[in-house]
Amino acid sequence: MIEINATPVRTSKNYNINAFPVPDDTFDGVPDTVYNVPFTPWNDDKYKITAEKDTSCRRPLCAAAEKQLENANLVMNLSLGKQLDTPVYQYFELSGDRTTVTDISISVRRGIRTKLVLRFFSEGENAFNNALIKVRLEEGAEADVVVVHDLGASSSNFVSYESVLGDGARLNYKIIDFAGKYSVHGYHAYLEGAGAESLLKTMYAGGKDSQIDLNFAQYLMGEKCHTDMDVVGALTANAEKNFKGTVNFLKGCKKSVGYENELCLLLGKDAKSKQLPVMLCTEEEVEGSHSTAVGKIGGDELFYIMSRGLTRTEALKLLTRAKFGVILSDLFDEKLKGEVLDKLDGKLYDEET
Amino acid sequence: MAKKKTEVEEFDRNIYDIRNADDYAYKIEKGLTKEIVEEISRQKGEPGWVLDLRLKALDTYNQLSMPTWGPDLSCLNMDEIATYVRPKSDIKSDWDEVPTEIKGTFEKLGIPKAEREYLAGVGAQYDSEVIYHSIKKELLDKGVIYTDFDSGIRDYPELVKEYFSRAVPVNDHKFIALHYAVFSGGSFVYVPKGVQLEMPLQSYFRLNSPESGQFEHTLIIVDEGASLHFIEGCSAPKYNKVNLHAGCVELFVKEGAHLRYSTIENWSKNMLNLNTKKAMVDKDGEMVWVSGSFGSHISMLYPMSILRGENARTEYTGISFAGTGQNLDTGFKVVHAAKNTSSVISSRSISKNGGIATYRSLVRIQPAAKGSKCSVNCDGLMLDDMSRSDTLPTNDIETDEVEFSHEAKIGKISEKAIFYLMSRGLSEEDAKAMIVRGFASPVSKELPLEYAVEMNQLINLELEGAIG
Repeated sequence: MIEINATPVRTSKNYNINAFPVPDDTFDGVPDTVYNVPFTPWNDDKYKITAEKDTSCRRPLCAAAEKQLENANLVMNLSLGKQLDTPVYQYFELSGDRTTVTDISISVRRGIRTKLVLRFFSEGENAFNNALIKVRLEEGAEADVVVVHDLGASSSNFVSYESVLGDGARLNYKIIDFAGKYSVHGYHAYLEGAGAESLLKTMYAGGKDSQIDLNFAQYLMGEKCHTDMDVVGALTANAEKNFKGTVNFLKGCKKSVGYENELCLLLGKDAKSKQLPVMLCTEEEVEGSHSTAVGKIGGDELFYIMSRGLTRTEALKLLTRAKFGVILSDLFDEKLKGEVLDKLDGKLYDEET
Repeated sequence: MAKKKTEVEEFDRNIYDIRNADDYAYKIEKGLTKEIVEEISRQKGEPGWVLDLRLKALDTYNQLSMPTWGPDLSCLNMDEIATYVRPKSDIKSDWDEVPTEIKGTFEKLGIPKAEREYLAGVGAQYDSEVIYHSIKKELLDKGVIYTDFDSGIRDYPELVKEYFSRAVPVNDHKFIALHYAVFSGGSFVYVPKGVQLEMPLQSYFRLNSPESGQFEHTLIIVDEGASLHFIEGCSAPKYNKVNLHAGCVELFVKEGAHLRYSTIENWSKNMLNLNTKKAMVDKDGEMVWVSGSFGSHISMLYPMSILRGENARTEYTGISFAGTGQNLDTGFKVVHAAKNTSSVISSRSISKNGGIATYRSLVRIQPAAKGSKCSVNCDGLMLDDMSRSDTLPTNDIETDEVEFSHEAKIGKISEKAIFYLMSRGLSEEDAKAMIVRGFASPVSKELPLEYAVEMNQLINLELEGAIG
């Protein structure tokens, strides 16, 4: 087994959360097809999409994943230099039986605001994806980035995210994950500029045999930075999830604030949740807090809703949607929000668990 | 000239730094070998099963690697540590029979006075051996056993064998294997069924000899329906070279029993404190930990409760205060292994003058622990930008029928709070000191009054020159 997605700070090996073990040959597959992604129509004077790789990355999931990324067959380099009126959508339909290695870079130039949706999906159940998504925001740039993963029940999805924020940049990042067999996400945001703001909102739903590993780290480097991580998820059947969240107040980030919160709903009797919400602090004038909670949908809440005439399943769906509201409430695309909630209902309450 | 606070002037740090001559009856050669372990056993005149355990532990120690996490322990060189130092006194039950110099040290630490005023029994260890032990006669009449650990092995072999190394196994980690290889001293306590001790017992551990280690073993059994408050204190004078403390505390709280274990640790700042403490809590039992960590160069200290009986409960209230050159990596571990168990964890840490304070914890709720509840709260206070404060809590939840919540905060002293207090006439320094004491109050209010006063004095001492 190789260990991937390691935490920035280690703790006792007995806690079994420092890294996520996967079989040795996980990243051995070589992609043999160049995907035909319709980038060209979007190239105009406002933004530019090319298939040129940005080779800089600070924290891939592991050396083997990084090596595989050298042969990425799905490369997208998006550079936004002017204001867009509408969100950018990019859908990636992955084959169910083929190795896909995805390398995406997004640069948002000074003062530009943008909204972007990346949606990975597969009709097959066995999709494999090793992806790297880099977002760089220059001074004063703002971006709302939504990444949706829906690759099928037996899929393996390994995603590294790297975000770098300049002075006054604002990034509102949403990761929505309908997990398959392996769902591993390593997110690292570097708030280099003064006044940078990084919001990370994540929702996950794990079903039978799902193993989810979330390793999120926010590095506060500039003065008066702000970071907020909210994670809400639900696990049915025997799904297992690790959440490792790190807010790292580095020297120089005076007057910065950082928060992280995780709520995990255990909806299956054999579901398991591990959490490691870390705060590291080497700067005095900061404010940080984290909170985590684990439980199931409460009996009293359920009783109240059912007493209003809803069935148990309808009541459960309603209450679950409410718990996920903190993640989805500011999603700019109402249609997408509706699709995500419908998918969530199906994943948690309609599939065999 | 900097103004000193009144409270600081009332407290004398020197009592902890009393350094007696390194005058001993026997000091084993430095290092850790099979021959040294055999010689310790021979010096102590132990039964064969104890030597067998020591040798097994030595093998385990040699097989296990150093931890790959936590503070850097590269300053520890076992070839420079003498693991057994026998003082020039055997165990006494009358302070007047204790050699004057040793007795003087404990007098200055206030132990005999505390015994007279509010303790039911006292044990005092000097280097590797217990030099004083006593217990009130009425407790003896009730069947309470409170003695040094060597006497426990000799006089109560069946009872000791039944529990010794059962809570903390030899292979738990590298430094507990070291402990079992060279352990010496410590306390053995048995409280019979239904006996409630109104006054606490206290053991005090003093390490005087330089370049040496203290490896005391404390074993406490509180039988069904009984209750006990046990207080542990420890200190040492400061030397330029590393001293090592790798003690072990094993606690057994039987059905319906109650145990409160309070520690005020003030080791010298050249000490590596790698202590291990674990409690096994049975049905309806309650284990309360109160812990104050002030001293040592490096501490890795994570008391643990295993709630193995239905409705078992545990509480942990701890504070650590890391100053110059200190790396205090402390926290708590709890395993919920039975139905309807509950735990409440509250931790505070303060770091200043370049000190590193880390809260590291584990909450594990096993599948069988349905209906369990756990609440965790940990706060860190940074007094300057030279220091470091980290929290690393691990929560491992394996059942859906659980109520679990965790909260942590980190930050500096609120400027609004300082302003408010200054508007009431306090100086800025006094306002900050008051806020820090308030921050620590969840711990001090859990201690007996005399120890709460000592803890506040320690906080004042640590704050001297650190704020303002």
